[in-house]
Amino acid sequence: MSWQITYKIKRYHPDQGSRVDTFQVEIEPERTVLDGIELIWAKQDRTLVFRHACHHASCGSCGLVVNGVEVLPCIKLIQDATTDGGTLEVEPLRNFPVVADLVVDMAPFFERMQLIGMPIVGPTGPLPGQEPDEYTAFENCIECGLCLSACPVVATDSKYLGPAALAAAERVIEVSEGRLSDEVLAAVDNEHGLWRCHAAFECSEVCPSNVDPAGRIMALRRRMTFERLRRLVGAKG
Amino acid sequence: MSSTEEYLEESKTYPGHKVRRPGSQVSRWFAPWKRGLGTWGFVLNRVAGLGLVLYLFLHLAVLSLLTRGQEGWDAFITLAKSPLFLLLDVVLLAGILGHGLNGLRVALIGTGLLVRWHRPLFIAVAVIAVLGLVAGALLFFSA
Repeated sequence: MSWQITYKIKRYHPDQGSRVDTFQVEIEPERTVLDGIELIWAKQDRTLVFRHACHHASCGSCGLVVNGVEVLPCIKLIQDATTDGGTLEVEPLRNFPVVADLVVDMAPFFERMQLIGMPIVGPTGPLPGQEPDEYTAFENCIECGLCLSACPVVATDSKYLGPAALAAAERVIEVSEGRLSDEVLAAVDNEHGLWRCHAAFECSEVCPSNVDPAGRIMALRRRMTFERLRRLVGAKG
Repeated sequence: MSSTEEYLEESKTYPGHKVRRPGSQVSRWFAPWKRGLGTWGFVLNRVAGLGLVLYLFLHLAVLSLLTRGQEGWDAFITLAKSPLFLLLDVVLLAGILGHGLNGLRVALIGTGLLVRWHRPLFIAVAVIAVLGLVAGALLFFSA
């Protein structure tokens, strides 16, 4: 049985400006929000610009804001996003420059990751002495940018390093037994680094890979707080 | 939908192409809808914080009445005992309890101590704040 869904898609073209287009789609509720967008592209508007690749939450390229919340539309089912006769408001990710329609320029994400050295860290799995349920794998980050879009702090501080890069920094320190290069330390330990986070936890809420960036930022903050205290005591001694 | 001060600029990644840039989106500091408990706590602290700053200036303005002598002060005290003013006292108490208790929660999770407990902590903060608010309101209106 198919549902009637209204897609309201935010469009942008450099020559035409911004607008919202409405499309009626007949689609099974078990299919995904991305399936609906592809149907619109295939049957109603071939000019609709969107990005996708794997269709199973592994490439991280299709991230969107659907009904006000960041999701990967390739794994967001229609029935989990709305009801029969309902509406899906689809926007590009926030806090990124929009190239066209639903496609954003991911450069702000990768520029931040480059400051941390674009780490692909290992080993995967819990470290010695770490309980499995305490372990959240930064290695699972698919670099989709949902965390950067959802963060209310990035919304007002474009220089803020942001959740993914800070989580990466914490994991780098963790697997290197506390060591961190001076360059990465300088990027992390400043007013636009880990101290800027205001604990809204929205990055962890929307993360499709359970990386828990907010938890990692807090762990990094605890580490830096103890490090500063240690230096303070050392300086007095 | 968020309200943004959008503007166009030349793309650095795609030369010759204009991209739509989001401006600063302060409105998102006050938009907890469809968001998690963490964001409700984030918004609570901002709203209550701004309210308390406003109160500070109001408080200073009220204290300045003392410069007008006993007559001006007595007139204010009469006003302060009115039900409407007592209701404002309850709002003030809500701000103090919300901001103070949520601030303790943020301090506990922000230093990495009780990160995994941030949701239960928010619920505990809300319950304690409501109980304190009810007790305070009863006290204000019965005194």
